[in-house]
Amino acid sequence: MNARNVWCGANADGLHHSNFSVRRDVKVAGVLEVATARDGDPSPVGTGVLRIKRGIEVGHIFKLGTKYSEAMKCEVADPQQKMIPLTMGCYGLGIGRTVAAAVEQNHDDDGIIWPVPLAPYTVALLSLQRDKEVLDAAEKLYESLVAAGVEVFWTTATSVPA
Amino acid sequence: MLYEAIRADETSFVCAVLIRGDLEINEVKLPKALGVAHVRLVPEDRLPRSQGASPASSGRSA
Repeated sequence: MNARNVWCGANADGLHHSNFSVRRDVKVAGVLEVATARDGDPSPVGTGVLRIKRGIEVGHIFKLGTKYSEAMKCEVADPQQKMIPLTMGCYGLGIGRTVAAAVEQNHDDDGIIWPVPLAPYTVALLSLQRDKEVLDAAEKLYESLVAAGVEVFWTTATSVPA
Repeated sequence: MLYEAIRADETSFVCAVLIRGDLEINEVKLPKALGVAHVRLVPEDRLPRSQGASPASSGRSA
């Protein structure tokens, strides 16, 4: 807005004007805050600076305003008994993307490390040999875990995917 | 940058947005600030041209 003596186009290819000054040379209809925020910009609340960090969107909130309530004539009486359209909003939480985000944050070379609240089972019990001693021990473990209220996935398959 | 600002009733007006060269116009903020439904850049073939100069040369005449 206060730019003075800068360069601008000259309405002819290959030529430029020097000494263009916004306040003098254009009729400014208004000053708007429409620039994309950058890391380090002053904070709009007046203290500190903005920081840009990587995030994962797992859900969002929309203010729908009165767009749909007006269209559907969904109205309520205001304190003066005048009918006004409801202000609407909606929330969305993506179950699939929440799981995807959790996996992205919790894994190693061998695969997913489930955060306990998302894990399909708390314990996976693999009895890798078929002899009675192993199966009996596994069953005993399985029963004591179930009795303790732990969710167990027990498989007697002798080969499991890595 | 020349933008066509389009209101909810589909009437529109054209406005020139001047911005510092190191900043970018945010096309979410712009319609909100102008109080219109959405904005779009004026297509190149509709940009005003003076004396056959390309739109990128728009500016101040002598």
